Amino acid sequence: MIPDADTMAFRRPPDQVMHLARLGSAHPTRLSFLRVLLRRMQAAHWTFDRPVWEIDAKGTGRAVYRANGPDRSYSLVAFAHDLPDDMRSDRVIATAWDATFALFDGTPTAADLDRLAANVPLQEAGRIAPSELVLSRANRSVRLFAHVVERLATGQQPERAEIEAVGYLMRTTAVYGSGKFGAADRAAIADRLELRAPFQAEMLSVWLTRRFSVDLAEHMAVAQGGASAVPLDKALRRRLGVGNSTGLGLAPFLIRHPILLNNWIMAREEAFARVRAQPQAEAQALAGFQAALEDAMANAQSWVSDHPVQLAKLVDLRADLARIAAAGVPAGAHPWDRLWHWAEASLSFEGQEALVSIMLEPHGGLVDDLADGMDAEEAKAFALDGAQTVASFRTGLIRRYGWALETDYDAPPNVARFWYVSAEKLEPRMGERCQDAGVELELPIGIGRITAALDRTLADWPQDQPLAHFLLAHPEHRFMARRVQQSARFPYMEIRDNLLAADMLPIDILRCKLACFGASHFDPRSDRWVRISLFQGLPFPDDLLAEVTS
Amino acid sequence: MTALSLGEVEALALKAARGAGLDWGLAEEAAFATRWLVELGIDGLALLAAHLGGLAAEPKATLAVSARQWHSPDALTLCPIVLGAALSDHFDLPEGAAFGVTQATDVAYPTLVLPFLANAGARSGVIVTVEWGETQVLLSDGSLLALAGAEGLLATCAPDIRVTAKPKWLAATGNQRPAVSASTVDTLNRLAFRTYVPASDQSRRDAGTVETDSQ
Repeated sequence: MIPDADTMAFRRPPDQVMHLARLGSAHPTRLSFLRVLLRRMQAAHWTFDRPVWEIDAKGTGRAVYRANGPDRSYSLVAFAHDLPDDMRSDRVIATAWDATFALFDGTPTAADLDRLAANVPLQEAGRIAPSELVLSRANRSVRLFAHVVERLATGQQPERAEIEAVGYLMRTTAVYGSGKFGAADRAAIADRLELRAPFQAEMLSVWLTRRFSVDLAEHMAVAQGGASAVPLDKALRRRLGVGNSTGLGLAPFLIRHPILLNNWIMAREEAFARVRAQPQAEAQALAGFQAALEDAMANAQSWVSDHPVQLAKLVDLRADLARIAAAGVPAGAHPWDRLWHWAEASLSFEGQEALVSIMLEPHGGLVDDLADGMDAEEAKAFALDGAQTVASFRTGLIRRYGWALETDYDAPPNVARFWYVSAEKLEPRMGERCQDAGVELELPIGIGRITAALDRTLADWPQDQPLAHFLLAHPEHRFMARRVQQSARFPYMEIRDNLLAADMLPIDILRCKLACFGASHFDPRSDRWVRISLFQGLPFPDDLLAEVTS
Repeated sequence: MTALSLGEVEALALKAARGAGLDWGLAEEAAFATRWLVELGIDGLALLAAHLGGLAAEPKATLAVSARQWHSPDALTLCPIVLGAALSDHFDLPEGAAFGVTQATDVAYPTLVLPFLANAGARSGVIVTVEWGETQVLLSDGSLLALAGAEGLLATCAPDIRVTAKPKWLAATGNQRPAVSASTVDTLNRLAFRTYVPASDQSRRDAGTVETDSQ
């Protein structure tokens, strides 16, 4: 993406944006992937139906939810299981779930359903085909699910407080796409308009899962209560999202896919710069800003967490939102830019990043096209330019990776952690360098340290030689040399912090990624895993056409 | 047999190459090369598996170049991933294929070198010919344009690889015309002849050719 020349002056530079303290305070925006999905489906008048519903009174069986677009249909195939409570685990190492899903490309035949029934419930131990785009599973929120079924069965609505306290009937514990376990490759679907933005198939799968979770609860209420059962009130229903439980596994993805990270962040930053560049605030934008601010305040109130880090951030966030409301949008020229400068000097990172999201909200016409640039053709940026001179290469390294060269990587606290892949279900994990086994199998996640090592070796190399000569002698630096060259074109591709440090919080990396997806209500359960909600407050399939979500 | 997605091919190749001792950056190259071959219907995974299996047991060959001759000073077999990455890096330098015919001696699984040269050639806008034994491969626009001696793709080692780069216009108009055997042309011509109507006196008259120009 090439930034508009007239927004350049309003861009937040990578050195301001790409630090964990700020990335770990990211909020979902209207460019988040699930918002992009809903906007597209609404604009193209997608319709939805449920061609299969074979669920028994115990809540087990199969169902198919279909989304019909102008060119193609996609079907979520759901399998509901009877899971004993003692087997319910959110960890990736679990082997059984309350429900398992596949997103099918088109409308599945009976034979497809039988094939999927033999594989999807096994998840990683099964095998899916290029006709499937996503493989996922979910567990119930035992408490809220039981409460909702019990109330509906007796003709009553569930308590709003109970719904707000949990926020979902089901939480996904893994959502696999892009060729995983035999699914269709990203390359095979990337040219479809409706799937071009990142993770659209995954988001569609989760969104239809949300509908399934409500249908299942209503179905079981009827099974229990018969004629006295009632459906869930639509306003209450809307407060339900899909929960998601995310651990360390997500973090290495962002490091392994720097161009994607760049394109996501750059789209948001360019959008924000466009808003700040507006000479005036239109009346409609001011009203939209006010509405978005009120939504954010309500959201901050219903955001529950027990984690001390997040509790402190929530205090900051609520106070900051109140200050934004009190301050209002300044009068005069470039009001949005002036509001931002005030926020930069006055608010916490939580408050500042919330403001970014609120300011983008009323400017759809100005920024929504940026969603088209969030995918990445990584293969095109793969090859190294061996003809670049060492001197020129090193100048770029020092300019763009100065942050990496300031750290003393011989000091134990700065290299306290290492990342590796566990042989147990091939899960990425983080170990303590001085005590855990496996350091020799460390993943290249500590970009700062790797860069510093490259720079040290480069310093002794003849500066007028081409990089090709250096790489021939030092293949161990090829990985980082590629990134350094890529970073000339992708300025937001690196998290500019030491990911090996003792005080680094992996949940900051997770939150950055999950906010790009559109997640809300981040609730860290430790320094390395987090629960979130997806689609909470957003439309269901049956109210999508009736409403304006943008 | 398992049908792997391209994503799985890439992920598996990356991890296996790393597991066999290649540095991360080279393991990424191995993943790229394997996917490139698999996308063309060549069993790149089998080639990589065979190569990596041997790699773990053998000492690592160093790679050196003089006068566009790539070789191992210790007379060991060259790793096609290391060689491919080096040929790609050096492609537009004086010791690279863009400057003249380039050769490499004792290359393991030479097919694994092709993806690197295809990409490098595409970046430089040239057509690359790679030859070893009876095998000749033409690479253009990042893909495989033509192939002769397909059985050579399975070679476990090539004593000598020869790489030639030509500007596209030259390759397209001159030296790269397909060499076809006389019997092939004969067979096709006999079939083509079936589309022709035999001549008769009437047809000759109707064509205005009964009388010669001299009459």
